[in-house]
Amino acid sequence: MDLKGEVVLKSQLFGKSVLTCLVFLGMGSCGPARSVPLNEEDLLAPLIDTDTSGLKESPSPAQALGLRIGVEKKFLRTFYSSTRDGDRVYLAQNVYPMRTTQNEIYLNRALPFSPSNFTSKNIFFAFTQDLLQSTIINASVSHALISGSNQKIYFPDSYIICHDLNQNIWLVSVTDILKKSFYLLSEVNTHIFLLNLTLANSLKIEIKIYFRIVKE
Amino acid sequence: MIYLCVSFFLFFSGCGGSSEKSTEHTTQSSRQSPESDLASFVPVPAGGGGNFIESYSKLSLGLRVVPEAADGSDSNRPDPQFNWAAVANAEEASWDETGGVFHRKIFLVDPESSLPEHKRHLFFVWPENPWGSPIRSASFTHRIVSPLNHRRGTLNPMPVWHDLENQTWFIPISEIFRASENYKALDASGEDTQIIHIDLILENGLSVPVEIRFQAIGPIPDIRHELHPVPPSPNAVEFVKSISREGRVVRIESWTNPSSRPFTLWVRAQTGRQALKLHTEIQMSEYTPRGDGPPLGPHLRSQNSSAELSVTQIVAEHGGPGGESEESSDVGNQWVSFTLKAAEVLYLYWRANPSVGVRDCLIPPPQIIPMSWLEIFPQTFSRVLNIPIGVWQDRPDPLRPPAYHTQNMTHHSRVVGGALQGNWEGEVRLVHPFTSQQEATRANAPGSSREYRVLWSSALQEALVAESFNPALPSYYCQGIFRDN
Repeated sequence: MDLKGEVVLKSQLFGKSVLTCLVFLGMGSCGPARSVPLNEEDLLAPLIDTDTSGLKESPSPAQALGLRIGVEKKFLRTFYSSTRDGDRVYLAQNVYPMRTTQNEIYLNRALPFSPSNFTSKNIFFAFTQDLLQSTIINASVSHALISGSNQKIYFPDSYIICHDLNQNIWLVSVTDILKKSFYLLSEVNTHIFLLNLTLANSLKIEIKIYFRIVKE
Repeated sequence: MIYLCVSFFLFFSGCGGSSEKSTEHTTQSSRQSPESDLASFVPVPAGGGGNFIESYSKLSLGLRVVPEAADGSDSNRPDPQFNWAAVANAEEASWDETGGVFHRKIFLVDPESSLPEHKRHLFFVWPENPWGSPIRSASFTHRIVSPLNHRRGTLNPMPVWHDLENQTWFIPISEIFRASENYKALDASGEDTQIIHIDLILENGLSVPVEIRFQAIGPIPDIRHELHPVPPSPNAVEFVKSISREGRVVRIESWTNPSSRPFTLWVRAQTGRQALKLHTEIQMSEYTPRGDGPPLGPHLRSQNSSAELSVTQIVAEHGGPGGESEESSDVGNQWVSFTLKAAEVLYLYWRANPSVGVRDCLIPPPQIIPMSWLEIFPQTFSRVLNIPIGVWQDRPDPLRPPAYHTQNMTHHSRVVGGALQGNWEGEVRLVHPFTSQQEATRANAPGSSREYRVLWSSALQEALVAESFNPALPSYYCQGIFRDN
């Protein structure tokens, strides 16, 4: 499929400016291009939180990451498709309620998650490419969880993260990663995404994102 | 050892427990700790009007989750011997400027638990002087946030305990739920987020708020169990026939969950010491021919045909008989699970079915056999004109010789009774819904701790006997079940 042609088509369809996520071809599970409309409706408006207590003058790496939540909306298809090239990602314009420490982020609210393949939307983590006066040049994520029995389960796979050069953001498909551990999608579990970031200045940073899900 | 329970007055600080609450705590403490000095239970007014400040590092508060002493000597306070560093390492928590989040789940005390760590009371504990100015008073409020972000709980401040001897402040975690009006320990679900907002008033007059978020898992409630009679068959024949056709329910039970949380039942059936056998009594009706008279009979002769049955199927009905049905058809020697939903009655029907490899037998159709005989009548001879003439006595026509008689006799077989004998074993285990199958079905090694609670475990479950059955009967030529008769 002509990816650029698809993007242009969408641009015409929706009359919005669209940007394209750069694809790291042949790099693990990094998904194909996604078109990202700017200033679209904020699907996560009900989730806006005014908690800004984590902000301070010298932000920690976790704070500087500028984590936002994105929602991928299906437009042209009813069913989930592995190509996902008809999807668009909406980024919440507001800060999702979260706590940040030096290298940890905890989402105060459970992420809505549809375990069915007929899901209407996918959830993304999006974060800045500029971090601590440098630039993230490589990013991967691995998954662990703390079960209801307090067992800590590590999943061996590591996933390459998509880099959207046009928006200067990196995108992690939460849905894609959680689907691989479908049988553990209990709402009692605490999921941990461990981000491994490599900066242009060769600095390596690890940031943990703690979150839980609520099944829709 | 000296505890101090602090009460607060709403008009004074905008938060605080009632004096009744304070008295209750004080009384309880003095009862549990006879050596306590009652004079030390002095209500300390909250530092009303204190400046609100959030800049204190909440991580440096040093708040920990600490159990009661392992020897069970005092369940009303945290273990005074606990190692702060070790406790911190065991926790998985994130701290920022507003407070902390415990990622490890906190199990509320469950006296019936088989896990020793779940039998111990837990406390939030922190030192009395973490920031250079001692904490003068403290209170907390409790809220619950569901996964869908519905908030529950009241903002009534509750008192915090002060352990003067060990120079710590603490909150018994079970106390948090005891004081809550509509959300008790049994309601505590791991899906919910518990939020404790602690207000600390320091000696220097500053007020420091600390928010603690955690997931609490309440104790497993008392699940009510009832055994229900299995409806009898109208007669032995129907009993055997119905088993042959569709198996037989050998146990009916119900489990009632009084709590607002779901649980998982893991069930398993096993063959007992004596295999479960369906004995079918086949009765044959036959006649014996005679050459000189009508056949004798019918002669009734019984034989036995046996077939092995296994409890392999469980049907669960949610909400009672007629409710939503769920079936597991392979429970023989392997575990299957059913969800015991919140506040529901779950019926389990254990069904025995013919084992794999059992033969199908047929009752032969009725067999019609003609039987002939020649009746013997006394014959006398008379001479008429010197000619001997035979005369059959006792016949209407004494001069007519008797003819051969032939009669069709029917040999038939039929099922007249039977019994289901032998035994089987079953087990039902109750676990939290998040407990893995591996944990839930782990072998019950003596002395080992386990994640499950055994609700029912039968050594041997005797099966039904439809009617008295004579095991000494000779064997029928076909050993199996009779589905089509």
